[in-house]
Amino acid sequence: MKKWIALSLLSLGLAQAATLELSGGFGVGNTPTGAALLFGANVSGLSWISGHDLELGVTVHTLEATLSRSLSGGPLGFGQAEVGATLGLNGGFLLKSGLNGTLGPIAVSAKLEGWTVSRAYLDPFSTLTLDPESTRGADYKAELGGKYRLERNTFLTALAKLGADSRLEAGIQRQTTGLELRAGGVIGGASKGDLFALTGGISTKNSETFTLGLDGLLGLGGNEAAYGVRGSATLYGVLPFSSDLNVYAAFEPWRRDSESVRYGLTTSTSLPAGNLTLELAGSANVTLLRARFALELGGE
Amino acid sequence: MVTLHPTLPFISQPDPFSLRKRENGLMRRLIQAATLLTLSLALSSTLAQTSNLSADDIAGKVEAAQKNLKDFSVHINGSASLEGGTQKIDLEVSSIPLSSLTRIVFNAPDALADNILILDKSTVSNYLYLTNQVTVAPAAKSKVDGFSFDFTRLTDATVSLSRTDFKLKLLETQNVAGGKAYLLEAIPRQDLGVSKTRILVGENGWKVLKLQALDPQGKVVTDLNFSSWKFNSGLKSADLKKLPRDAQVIKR
Repeated sequence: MKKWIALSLLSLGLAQAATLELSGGFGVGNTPTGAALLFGANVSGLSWISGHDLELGVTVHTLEATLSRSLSGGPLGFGQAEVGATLGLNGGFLLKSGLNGTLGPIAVSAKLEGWTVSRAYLDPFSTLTLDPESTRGADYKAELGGKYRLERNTFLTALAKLGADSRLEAGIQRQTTGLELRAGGVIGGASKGDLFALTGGISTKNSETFTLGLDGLLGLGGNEAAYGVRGSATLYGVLPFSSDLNVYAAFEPWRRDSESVRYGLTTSTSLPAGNLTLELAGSANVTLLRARFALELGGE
Repeated sequence: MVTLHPTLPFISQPDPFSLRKRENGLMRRLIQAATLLTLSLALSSTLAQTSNLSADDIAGKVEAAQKNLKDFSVHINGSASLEGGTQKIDLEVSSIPLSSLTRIVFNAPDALADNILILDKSTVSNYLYLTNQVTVAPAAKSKVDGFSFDFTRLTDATVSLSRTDFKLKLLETQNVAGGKAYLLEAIPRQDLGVSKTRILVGENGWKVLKLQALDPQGKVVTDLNFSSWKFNSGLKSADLKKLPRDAQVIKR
């Protein structure tokens, strides 16, 4: 079957290794698409345009295309640029562009996105992640982020967002053996007015068996307290077939433009034929379940 | 057998990032270090059987010696002088030559610390600590990238030390801990980015102990010490391929 698909794609001019992903699932509750079923197919790593990677996808509600280009500087750095569009079959679209690069001690990223229909409609999981997309119906966002390695174990971070979820963040990260500590401040828009808050977090690092992370926010939103907490845990190889398990949950009432309650569970299994991912994600309004199967085509 | 390639592909490439100019000095030094290191690794196997042998004999012996070398690891530290000053360099290199598998872990400079480079026959994996990302690319692709240079040279233990590439001369004999050491001078016959290199080889185990690159004025621009050489210590491919479990993987 795999060979057959590979051959037919080769005949379409697929010269290099590409990845085909098939997905299926359903939603319970107030689903953003208005329908319970989720199906999709997606091919990434197409090299139809020389020097670029093309990704094409189709779901029951959308058509998607993303074109990206990357440059490697070996251990010195990496750069990537992409543009993409998602078209809703019942109207509405998303246009996105992004640029990120790392060179020695500096990493920067920039994003510009605009949409005319809810992000959840175009990608139901996108508003339920730890760093969720906005729930605003039609809007834009412009993002500029940076990270600087002050010395070996100390990092400075900054993020500026305009449009949906607009805010300014600045922080410092300190890494010790096996742990990363984060502290910072944020100003911007929140559910009850202007947000002034402090943030803090801790994660484990370098473990072969698990990664744990916990982040909190505390401050003022307008005249009221603003607060939020989120955590995630990943266990590697704990499930049958050496599968990985990730669980996360966020309770962030301070958020103005995103779901304040989000949770999820993901398992990932490497099978001989490909990679199987099972995903569950939800908010106060909806729960989604999806299976994805990705297989390599062509190439090695 | 791989031969040292006399051209430096990155120099003639178009500039993909203007930022690259700032890093060019470092890249140039690293390339030089890479060139020198391959030279020294070849020498380390060559010199074990130097006496009264012709260059061709030596090349043959190198090949034979490589066949028996299951794995090696070495700690490299030192400095390279750049336009803006002196840059510390500290690397851990481990390799299983038969599988063409090499792992390089950066300790210094701070800007690159904890970055990991893994090379095998078909793939180059770059782990960038700053962003916790691994980029995985076919070896062929990373060689044609303008922004890249061939790090495989840094560790390719099977490089041939051909007399057509280098003019070799024994400068002096020194006494070091563990026995005698020989200071050699190697002058590339074509432009490899350095005018002259000096290599100190210890008699005990015929290991490279020190490597220096000199500019045309005779100033030392790269100075590297080799320590903790280990041969056939039973390195496993799985260990050489190990990367942080939570890293984001980007396939190119």
